[in-house]
Amino acid sequence: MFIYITKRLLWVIPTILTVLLLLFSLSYLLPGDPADIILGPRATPEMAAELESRLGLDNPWYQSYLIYLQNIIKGDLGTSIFRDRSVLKVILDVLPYTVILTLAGMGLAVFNGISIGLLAANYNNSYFEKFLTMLSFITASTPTYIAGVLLIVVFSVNFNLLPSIGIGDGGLLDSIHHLIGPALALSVGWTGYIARLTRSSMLETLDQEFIQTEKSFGIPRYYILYKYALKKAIKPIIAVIGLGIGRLLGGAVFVEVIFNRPGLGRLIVDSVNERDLPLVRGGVLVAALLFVVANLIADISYAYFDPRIKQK
Amino acid sequence: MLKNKYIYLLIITVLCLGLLTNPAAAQDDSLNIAIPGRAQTLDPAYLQRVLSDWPVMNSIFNGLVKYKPGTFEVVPDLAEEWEISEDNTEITFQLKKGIQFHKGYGEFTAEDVKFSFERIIAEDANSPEAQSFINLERVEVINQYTVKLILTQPMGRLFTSTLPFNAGLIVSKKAVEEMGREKFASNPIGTGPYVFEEWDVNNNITLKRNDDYFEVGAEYGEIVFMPMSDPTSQELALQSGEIDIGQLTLDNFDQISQMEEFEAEIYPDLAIQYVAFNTSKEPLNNKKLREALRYIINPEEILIGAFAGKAERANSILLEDMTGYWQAPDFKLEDVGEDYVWNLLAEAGYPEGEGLELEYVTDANEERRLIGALIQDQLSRFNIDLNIEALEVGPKIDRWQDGSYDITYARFTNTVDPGYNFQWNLSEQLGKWNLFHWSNKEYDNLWQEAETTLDSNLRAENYKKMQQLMNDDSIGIWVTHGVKTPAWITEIEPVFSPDGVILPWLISNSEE
Amino acid sequence: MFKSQKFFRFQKKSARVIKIMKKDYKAYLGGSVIMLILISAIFAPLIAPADPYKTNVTKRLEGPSLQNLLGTDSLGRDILSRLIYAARPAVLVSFGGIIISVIIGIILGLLAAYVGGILESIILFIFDVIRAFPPIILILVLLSIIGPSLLSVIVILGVTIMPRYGRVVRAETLSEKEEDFVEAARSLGADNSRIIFKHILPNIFASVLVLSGMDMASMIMWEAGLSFLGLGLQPPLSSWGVMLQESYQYIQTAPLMILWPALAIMLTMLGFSTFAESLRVALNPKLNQEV
Repeated sequence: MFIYITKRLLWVIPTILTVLLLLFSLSYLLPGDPADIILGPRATPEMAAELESRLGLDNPWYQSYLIYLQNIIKGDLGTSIFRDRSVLKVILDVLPYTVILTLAGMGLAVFNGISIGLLAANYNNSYFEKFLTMLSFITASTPTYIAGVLLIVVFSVNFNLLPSIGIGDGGLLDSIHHLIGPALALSVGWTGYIARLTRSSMLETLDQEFIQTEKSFGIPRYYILYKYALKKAIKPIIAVIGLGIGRLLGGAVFVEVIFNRPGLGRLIVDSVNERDLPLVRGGVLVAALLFVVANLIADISYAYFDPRIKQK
Repeated sequence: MLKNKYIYLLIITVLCLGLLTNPAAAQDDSLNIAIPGRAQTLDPAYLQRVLSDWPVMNSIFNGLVKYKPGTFEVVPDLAEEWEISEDNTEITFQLKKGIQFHKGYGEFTAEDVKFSFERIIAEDANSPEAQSFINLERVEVINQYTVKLILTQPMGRLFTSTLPFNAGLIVSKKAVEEMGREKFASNPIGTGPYVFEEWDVNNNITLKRNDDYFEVGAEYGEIVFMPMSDPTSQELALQSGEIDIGQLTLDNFDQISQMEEFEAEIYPDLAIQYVAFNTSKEPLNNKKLREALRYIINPEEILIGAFAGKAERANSILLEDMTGYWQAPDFKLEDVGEDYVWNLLAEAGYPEGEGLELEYVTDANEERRLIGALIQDQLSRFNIDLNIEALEVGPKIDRWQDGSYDITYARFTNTVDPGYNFQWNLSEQLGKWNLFHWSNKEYDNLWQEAETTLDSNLRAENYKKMQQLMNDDSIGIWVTHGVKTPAWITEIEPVFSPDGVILPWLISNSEE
Repeated sequence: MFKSQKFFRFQKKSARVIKIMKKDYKAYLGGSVIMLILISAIFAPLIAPADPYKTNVTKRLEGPSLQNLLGTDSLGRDILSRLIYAARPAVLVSFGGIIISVIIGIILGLLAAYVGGILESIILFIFDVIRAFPPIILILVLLSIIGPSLLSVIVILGVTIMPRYGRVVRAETLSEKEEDFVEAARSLGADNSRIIFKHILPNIFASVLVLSGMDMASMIMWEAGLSFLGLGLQPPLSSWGVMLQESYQYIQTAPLMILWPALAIMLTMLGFSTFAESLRVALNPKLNQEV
């Protein structure tokens, strides 16, 4: 196990270096002149030149890449062109919101998914189970942005129960209130997935011998379901949570845009639109790092729960 | 065990109910105002998107002069009065006395004026406002309350758009020198009715009332500007009570403005939106063909389809009451009949419109896409194919500048000064922002002449002639100035500029 | 001898799969949705009641009527017709994207498994680099480099998803390589391409089929999402995502308008994923847990 983890960790280093090279090359690949896009007709040639030197476009590329790497090692991601702040600070400012959103979304997905899955397993082969299965397929087929838009239409516009935008005034209750809609929108897709996983895992466990034995001893059904079966069945669910967090990170892009929340996803979308290169690089780098870590956790938890991989 | 369960249930229910009741957004003394974009800097000399930042800037800073609220008439602000020399190149301002900068940065004096203007024209300044002060040579401090602007040539736009707009805002010399430019950009110090308080992660900007303001102080103690680029979000936020002032989408305007809780008004925008023909490239270098297109493309349908019929047709770059307004003739299909247009097409070498394929470049902006689809359908009625390319802003500008398109649709922000608005069609703008790729010596000379005079009659004459030149060559179609559709909760009584920009310090409480 | 035995196995297996799926309501649901989409895409001009590009601003934002069954959009175009025509880009994106990723994935996966050594490491490394980005963010950045168009959306989606197929194919090939019949074929002097086409590919077919069903749903989702962010397809092509974005600002005046493209997207995703699920149950391939 230890060797497996070490190997996986070492493998990450060249990956990240290549990611950095790709991000660096963005300045040569992205079409459009940042000065024109942002400054519009008001740009002077001098401003364009200053911008170029800030983007490192006035040096040969290998030199610029080395400088870029050096700076990153020092923890300096550059300065955002259009925000007059360091990229690292801009990202650190918004990152907590994305993390909280993702965790809340995952929490909701796990809670709702397991509930639906348990019900479905409990009423296996009934029409109710078919309904629940269909429900989990439908939720799994609802993209985040559709869920978000529908939530806004129903709860913000029609019933005025949930706020449609922003993060609130900073108070705990208000923050949670502003988090409900976005987290729910984010959770919808994974709710269905976890529900299906829970159901099949539960059915598998219930089939196993020791449960059958318990049954024959006359232990109450719900007791078996929750005390024994769920304990076993939950392992594969825990194993996919790492994976899910990575995926929800991507879904957060839409949620943050629709609900007008600060966050890494919206930051990347904005900076790509504005061609704020240092910010695009920094934002995508941080997103990639988070994603790699989430995947790593997912892989390791697989290995932990699925002995077959350990041997490989 | 069971008892526990019920208690949990109770707590959860209470929590849910608590969360679901929407807390009132506005505290009594605080207003939330939506602005169309995230501010990028709060330093008036470096504003990049003047439109979204102007209400913020205007609340923190003053200029020597200002537009009288609700008009574009120029009246004194920090200046008491001024005198213009005979040759129109020296302007002496008497300043008001005893005005204090925010946060204890001292009294406003002539030194601050000199500093504010000269930092814009300094060679290493790289300020986008340098152009606004193009003929300013230097600023001379006569005494603490007297300052003189020395120009190389008379400057037509000095009083119409430079001084009352963001280039003319006065910053605290002491603050900029102490903080440095970078820090000042997020800690602005001015003399205005509101004091900068905070610029948070969500890019909300909070201002507090300046209790020592030299004029009548603002009524509301706090203003929070919230960036929301999308009118749909602004509309939703307004209805859910998160903001007090925002824009409505055009289609919902009637419905929401009739609600009891909200009031709304339509203002013409200062911008100009137009269809531009690329006059230097086959096939639209053919004037006959351009004329035919002026008949075929029907701006009225654009106004209905993309602006819900709420925007007025534009017949000039300028708004109707501005100096130099000249109404371009409208080329209406129903006036001449289809046969006339078929003939034009035939004369241009495209009988029955056959074989004519045009390239339309735009950005992915939804409104522009709709307009593209409409023009495409209109042209198809005359067998003309239109290939729409919806690019991102960057590539679109590249295409604009290298001229690889036939038709495009653009929106240019205008100022109150015609000289600014007409400069994009000059020959020197070829390959930059001259989207018609059109060059006309006479136009250039007329512009230059108008630029260096303060004689508003001469200026008006020249601008009219310039518009006739553009019309004669059929280089494009003015579509609309666009509209602003501010809406607000009925508890407040806002004041707007003639083009619909909020003047935050003049908002009053309508219930008192 | 091996050929016939192998073919027999495959045939028997297909028969079994069909038999199981015939009993599964999910297969019917998914199958009919996919058929519906395909028919709309292929026969759009015959089915659509009106010209989807024909504007009529005097009839904008009308509700459902006999003339326009689902109403009209902001330019007075018939929504139903636009919805039907939009099945075309949806089919192109999902099938095109999946074909690209499956083909590249199979080639790279086989290369990695067969050649091994440095090449294998390089290929796995490429997979890892692609997988290091959250898909939507990778797609977003790539699209802004290449510029949005139908072709670039298809290619970018295909490349983003590709590592999954590469990895599955490699893993399956490695384990198939150990199987007796491949060893036997090799000892009889069958060359590699023969082994690949006759023995390996039919065996990974099942896993690839199931995975691609799920991925086609994701591709529809991503394309619409990109359009929603204003980065998707260009006019006059109108995808469901473009329609979704266009109707967003009318959610108060014409709330039904946004429902149609939303339903189309969800229904299509539902169709692909239920069909894939039903296939998975029937085939029961040793799938990677990843979804």
